[in-house]
Amino acid sequence: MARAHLYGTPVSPGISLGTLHFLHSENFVDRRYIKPEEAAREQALLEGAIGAVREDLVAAREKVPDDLAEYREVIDAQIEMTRDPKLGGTARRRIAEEGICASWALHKTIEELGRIFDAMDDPYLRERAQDIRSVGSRIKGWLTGASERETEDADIILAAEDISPADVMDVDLKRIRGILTQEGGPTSHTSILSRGLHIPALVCVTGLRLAAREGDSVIVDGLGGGVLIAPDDKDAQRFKARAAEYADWESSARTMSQWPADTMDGLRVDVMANIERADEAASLESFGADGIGLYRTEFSFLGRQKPTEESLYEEYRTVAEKSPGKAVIRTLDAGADKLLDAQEALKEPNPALGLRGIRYTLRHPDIFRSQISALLRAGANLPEGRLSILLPLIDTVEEVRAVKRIMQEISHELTARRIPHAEKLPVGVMVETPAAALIADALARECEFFSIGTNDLIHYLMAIDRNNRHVAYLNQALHPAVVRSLKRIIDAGHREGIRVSACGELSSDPYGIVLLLGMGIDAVSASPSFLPGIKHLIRKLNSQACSELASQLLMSTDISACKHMLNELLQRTLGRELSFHTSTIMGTPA
Amino acid sequence: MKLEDAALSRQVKLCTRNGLHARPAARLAKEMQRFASNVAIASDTGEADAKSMLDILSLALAEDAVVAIKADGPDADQALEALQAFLEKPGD
Repeated sequence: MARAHLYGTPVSPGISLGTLHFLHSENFVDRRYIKPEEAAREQALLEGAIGAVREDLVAAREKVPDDLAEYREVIDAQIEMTRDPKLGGTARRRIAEEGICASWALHKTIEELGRIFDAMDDPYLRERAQDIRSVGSRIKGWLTGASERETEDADIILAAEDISPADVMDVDLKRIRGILTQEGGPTSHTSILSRGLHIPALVCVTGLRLAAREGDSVIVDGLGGGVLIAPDDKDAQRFKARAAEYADWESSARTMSQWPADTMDGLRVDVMANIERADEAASLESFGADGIGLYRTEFSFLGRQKPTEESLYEEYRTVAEKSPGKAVIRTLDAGADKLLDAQEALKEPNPALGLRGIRYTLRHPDIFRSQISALLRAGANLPEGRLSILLPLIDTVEEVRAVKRIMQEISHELTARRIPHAEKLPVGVMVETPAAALIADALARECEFFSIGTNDLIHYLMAIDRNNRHVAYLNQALHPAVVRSLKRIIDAGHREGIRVSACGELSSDPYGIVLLLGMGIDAVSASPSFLPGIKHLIRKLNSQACSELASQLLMSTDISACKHMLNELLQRTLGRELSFHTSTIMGTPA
Repeated sequence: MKLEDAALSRQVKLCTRNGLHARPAARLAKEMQRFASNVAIASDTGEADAKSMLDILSLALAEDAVVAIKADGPDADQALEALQAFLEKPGD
């Protein structure tokens, strides 16, 4: 195919070159009526295909590396589906009763099952529809003979509508150089898997089918979010040079990440990790995390059953103990990304402005009390300051006081029941609404630290819905309203002598880091994979220069001039390295 | 499969922790496939073939749910016994 550029959302960093390999490419369904005497043959074909897929899955399961062991369960469930009478049996009956070919009968069965699961209330069960369809397309692939086409190439770029873990294990892991999908987001299987495998990946890539063919040579840029199809010699040379440079940069950033991040002029900034599963805590040291800046507690509440206080206690204790340093645990912030069933039942017209964050937990004291009790218990025997509590979506001073009252009550109860616990834990406020920003001085007197949730702060300041692409252009981190608010919050915190940190996209963005550093931020917190790069960047910056730049930005109301000034400073300090960082402020770098 | 007049049936309270999600449902289906008899689980939401993981999952059974279990066939006794033991075992 001709040389072409496509774009997608980068979800795993890196750059690579390889040969394009489409998965489940023949998603074409053979729709054919059959004669009654053909039924037995079609049924045998179906049986054969199901059996073959089962063998493939068993083989794929064996290939799952130990550090991705959770994917074995996903594959196990898929293996069981190939044995399921509801799937194979129903399809077999359809062949005979409806007089249709194996492929069509299977397609109908899969669609029907998928619809049943799609309609379920339970988000966990809804996601199983994806597994059913994935098994279905494998069987369909066998029936049409598509999966038999093996690829021989040494460097593979996998491309598909969406990818399930078993699909990736099918291909020799060592040969996969990149992943491209049409669907998915930053938290899909594709993203988590590719970050685990350290290969570049892009999701939401459109037009791949039209622009590229199986076997085309492609360059995947997981830093800038670009795909180059059929690169010419010049492109290939440029790619080689850039890939080598990036590999050097990455390995040196990784090696150096074990050391603290001090600016050129000796100012230390803590670089912390945002995580959402307790088992992530143990691996943080390898990313150079100085601690956990944000542990999201939503995960265990999304299941069908409310977690017990005991399981929460175990979870929070693991996080605090395994953390390489301090651990900040945020109380349930349901509604930020996912809604609890109970919230969905409220049918709020605008959940982002509804009963979420601290509003929800103060209204549902049973959940909140079990969390606080688990946290206080997890704090027993820990050095002071190691574990602290962060409150999401605070608007008023009263909310903080209410939480402190509840903490005191629970502490007394635990004492009475002779259960070991921490008397009290440091309480931090997530500053992420305009109201909180405007009363930051009053809030700072009520709490022990601030954490600025930059994503929500921008959305609420600009009054935009994060899921509404029509207003996405207003997601302007350098809008004077945002810049002034950041300054106001950081200064208010420092005047009361408390530490201020930032989590959110701004704190992993090179432009955001310069800005925050210039305003005197004490810590930044981001996804683990960004941490080595952040530390590397901070070491090259001069806090005095950042602070001078921040004062200039504060005086300007011209967003593009601000971008220009930041860019100039970063180009000067980083040079070509700048393109190895992902930035949402500047958009896709050229 | 209609098991209204199954030879054997009884009430069981589900003890599997966190309800019957994919992993235990897969194990249960696999276990039940060893028996020749038809086995079913019935709740207020409907009735499921205990040999089908997808069917079991679609009942969306929560921890503490009370279900009726039924078996019909040559080894109905053993099948029902095994099914009851599985559902009443706390495990995960």
